[in-house]
Amino acid sequence: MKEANVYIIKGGINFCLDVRVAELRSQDNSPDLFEKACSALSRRHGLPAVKIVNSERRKLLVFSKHPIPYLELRGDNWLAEIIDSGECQRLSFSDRVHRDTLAQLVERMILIAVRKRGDLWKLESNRIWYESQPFNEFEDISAFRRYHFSVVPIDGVGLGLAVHVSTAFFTNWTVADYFRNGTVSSDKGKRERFEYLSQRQKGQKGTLLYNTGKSKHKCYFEEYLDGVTCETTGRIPVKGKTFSSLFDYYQSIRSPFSKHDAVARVSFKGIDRPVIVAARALRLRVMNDALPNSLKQIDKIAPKERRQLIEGFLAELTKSSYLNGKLNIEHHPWRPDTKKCQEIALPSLLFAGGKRLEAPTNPGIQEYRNYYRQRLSLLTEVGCYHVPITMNKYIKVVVPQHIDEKAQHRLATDIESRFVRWTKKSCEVEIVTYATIEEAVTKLHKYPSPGLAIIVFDNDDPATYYNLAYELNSWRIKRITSSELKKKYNVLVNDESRAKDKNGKIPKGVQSWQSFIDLNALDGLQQLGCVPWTIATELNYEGHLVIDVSEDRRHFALSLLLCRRQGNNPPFWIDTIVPRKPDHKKETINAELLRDEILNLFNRIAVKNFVPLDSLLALRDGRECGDEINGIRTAQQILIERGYLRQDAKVDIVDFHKKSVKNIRFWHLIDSQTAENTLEATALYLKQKIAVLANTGAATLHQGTADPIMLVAHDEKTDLTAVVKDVAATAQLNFSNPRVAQRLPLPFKRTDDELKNRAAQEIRRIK
Amino acid sequence: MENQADIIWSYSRRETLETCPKKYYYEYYGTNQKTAKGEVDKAALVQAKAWKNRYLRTGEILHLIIRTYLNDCRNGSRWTINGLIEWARKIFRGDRLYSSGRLSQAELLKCKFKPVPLLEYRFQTQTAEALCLEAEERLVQAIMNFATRSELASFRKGAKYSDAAIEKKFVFKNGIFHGCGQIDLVYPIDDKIVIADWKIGAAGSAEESLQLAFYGLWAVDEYDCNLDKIKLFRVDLAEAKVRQYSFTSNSLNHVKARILQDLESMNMLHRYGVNANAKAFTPCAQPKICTLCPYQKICPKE
Repeated sequence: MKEANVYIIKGGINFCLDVRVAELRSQDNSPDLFEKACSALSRRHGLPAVKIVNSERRKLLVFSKHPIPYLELRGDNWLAEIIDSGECQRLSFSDRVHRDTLAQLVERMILIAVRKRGDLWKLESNRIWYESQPFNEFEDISAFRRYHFSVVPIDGVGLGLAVHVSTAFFTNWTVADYFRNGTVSSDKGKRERFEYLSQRQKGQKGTLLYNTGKSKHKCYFEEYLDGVTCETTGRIPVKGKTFSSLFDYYQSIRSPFSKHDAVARVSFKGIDRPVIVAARALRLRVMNDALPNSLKQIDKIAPKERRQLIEGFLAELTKSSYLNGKLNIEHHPWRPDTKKCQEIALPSLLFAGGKRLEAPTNPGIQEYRNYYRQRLSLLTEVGCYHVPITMNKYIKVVVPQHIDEKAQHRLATDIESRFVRWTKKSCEVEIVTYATIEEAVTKLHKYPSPGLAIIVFDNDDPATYYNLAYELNSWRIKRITSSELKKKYNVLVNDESRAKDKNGKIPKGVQSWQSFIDLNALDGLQQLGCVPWTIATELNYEGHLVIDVSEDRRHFALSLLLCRRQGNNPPFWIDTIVPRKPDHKKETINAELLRDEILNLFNRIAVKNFVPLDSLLALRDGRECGDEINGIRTAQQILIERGYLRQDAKVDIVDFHKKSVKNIRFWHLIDSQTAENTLEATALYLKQKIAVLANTGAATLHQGTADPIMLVAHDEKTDLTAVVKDVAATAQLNFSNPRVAQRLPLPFKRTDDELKNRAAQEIRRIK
Repeated sequence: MENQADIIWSYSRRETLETCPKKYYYEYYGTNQKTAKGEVDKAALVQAKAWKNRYLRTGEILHLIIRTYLNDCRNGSRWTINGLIEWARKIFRGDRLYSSGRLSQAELLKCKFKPVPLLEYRFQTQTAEALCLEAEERLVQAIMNFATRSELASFRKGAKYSDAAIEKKFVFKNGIFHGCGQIDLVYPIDDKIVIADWKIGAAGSAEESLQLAFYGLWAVDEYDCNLDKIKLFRVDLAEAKVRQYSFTSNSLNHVKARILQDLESMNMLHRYGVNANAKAFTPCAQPKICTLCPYQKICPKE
């Protein structure tokens, strides 16, 4: 039986709410006025309110049994009034038009109930609430549980309250503690520690929690002002008023900071210049990359523990006197039936020489595990499904001179053996040593034909990485850090002399080295254009076009996967391009640039006698799309004209959320107390147009709960089941780590990796 | 026609692109007579370009006053503080009167410096006068600070050296890219090179350190010296605060990489620019930025 982290609002499909209509009157037409009005009704009167969509007049729907009290709102240069219109309305789940509004209203009711609890705090979102006390501490870092909630309409079921639990890490020292001036060496160490935890060496600014004593806010570190205190800041302007000092301002808001408290400069979103605040009010948000080993795993919450935490949260929530009589929530989580929650049949895979890995016929953990484990063995046995004839077989392993020669040699020979094994061709790996990166570049430039260079280098400085990529733009580069190589090699040397244990298991260090070599060689193999295997059965869409934008919005990436019947030329093709995104302040990709880059991607298909595609699935990393649809549709017309698409080709556009926006999770319930992850490729259908798909699962995921993706079709003509099947199938092209199920389908994995590479090269700050 | 290889990086060019790609199009293509010949709004864009916002204009006046003051000091002439301030006020007052249509033809002909139309008078007619008067006071404070504050004495003194350069224009070439800039003040002292950049505004940002680091990159090449011989200062004239920037050789690698990354974006957009395809340039649509933009009437903003 499957269970989700969703609690159904009692009443199910018959749920309804009686609401009142309020008018919003103002000379100001700004759209954000609605949110300000809803927020004011919620804070001042505990009334949940939402904007009426598509209304000609500016109206709000407010959940209240009594007339809405008159409210006047003021801001810089604007004034607004909220006035009860006297109208009432019934919102019913059974009416499709009402569903989203109803979900929004219920979500706001729950938000008010959570806020009234008083023992949780929020930082960046109204939907995410932190526990007041950390549940774990190590050295200067504290781990906090936080609860995300949202309300989703589920077809045929009713409104569901989804509750997700995650972990956030903050320092228990303040910024003042890290920067306190002193002469002892430990003070310098503290500053270095701050730099490390904030990941500032990697170009991050450092995210901070600013606690004024009254409220908490998110901001970003700019600099610590040595020698400046709250009293000596000089005059500062805040919200139109001028204060004689920061201390004067803190006095006015009764914040607990003294004259002598040190000061730091920070930036806030929405404020165009950095501002100064007390350094004692700031704590650093610690990102996972900077966590010590002892804390690294505690954010992995297994289904059983997750259920318990969510139950605890719900128990507190349902005690709320605010919700009493307004809203009833089912006591048990939603257990979707087999129509709603399905295990997607996995595809058979095709290797060299027509060798097939058959799909599991009986879904079960062991059978699925074998299905994943056999991929690498089959690859070793028969080789890649496709190796380009023109593949450059001369591979360079480029290492700094200070790396032990034996380690250099071992790396090169082991990589070579993997290439020979998997391509079934002779490959030669040559070691190139260097003292400086410039020397490495010069040496590589001397080779007449660029190929794959596996480069080991010392630091993760973005400029070094960028310059390497820039100077060696005709080479395929695989990066390995020196520290990782040394660590793996040292453990290997230690463990290699040991015999297998009594269970016949290879020592851990040897396993770890082999896995390290496998993964790097598999990446290299893909860089050379080799295709380890393909899908043996036909997909619903011959082509998959993925559109993705980097976190910092400085690049976008397009990936094209063609995977189709043998005989359709080409039967398999995968290619990715990563253009810059000059308008990085917007998530949306400019439609002109998108159209041209889609055409550019298709123009790179280097085959004769191309057979036009009969179907194309465009998956957009979904946050917002703006005018992108026009870019895609215009490109579609040109692709038809150029013979890449058939005249009648089916082109569907689907939003692909790498993170399920509503934070939905689900698991397999063994008994009333025990739960485990579902099998790989399990889908939950929420609506006709929305599905959640977990590509990872119990067979290969050993920690935490499977983190699904969400698919949202653009129109109701799209067959979402066909899309889900294709996405689950293309996730089986897990070339980078065949033993483990991959969250993302191959073209998304490519765009994701490429965008991360580019982000690692991006210069954000000049230090 | 400007081709890809001819794009010369400058801090102001990259800042325009960062702030608003559409404005970048208007500045570097739409109003350029040599390129984007298919631009149907070219005449209107050229006309719009003449309008300047109060920050840009007071910045220009500040630089003019300081340049003149320092050059005259080197030649032995002395300015009084009041003289400098009066002159700055006169120029800006001329701009205000001209922009609000209060300058007669006869007065216009008498102006030594052709007045510049201020866009506040075009788009924010109700508040234009107050906004511009406020900007004028900031300008006056900056000039007064520059000429009198002891924290800035070393710069005033340094500018008198015979080998000092005021508003030094330069082109940097390293075989990979070309960049250009203009340094407000550069002079050698002992075995060091001092570089200073004036700003009216407050507190520095990461982006401004790029500008100074680029000056450092040029100076290391120009004077054939190590970076530790270059002293880089940003002078906030509104508050008379001097901030020294320290860079490492690694910082210069970052600058080079940053410039190449900027040029990638510029090159990507170039063909759209020359073909007058303004749609490929996304407007920022941020009211705070749009209010200060001379092309706000022409820009579709979405």
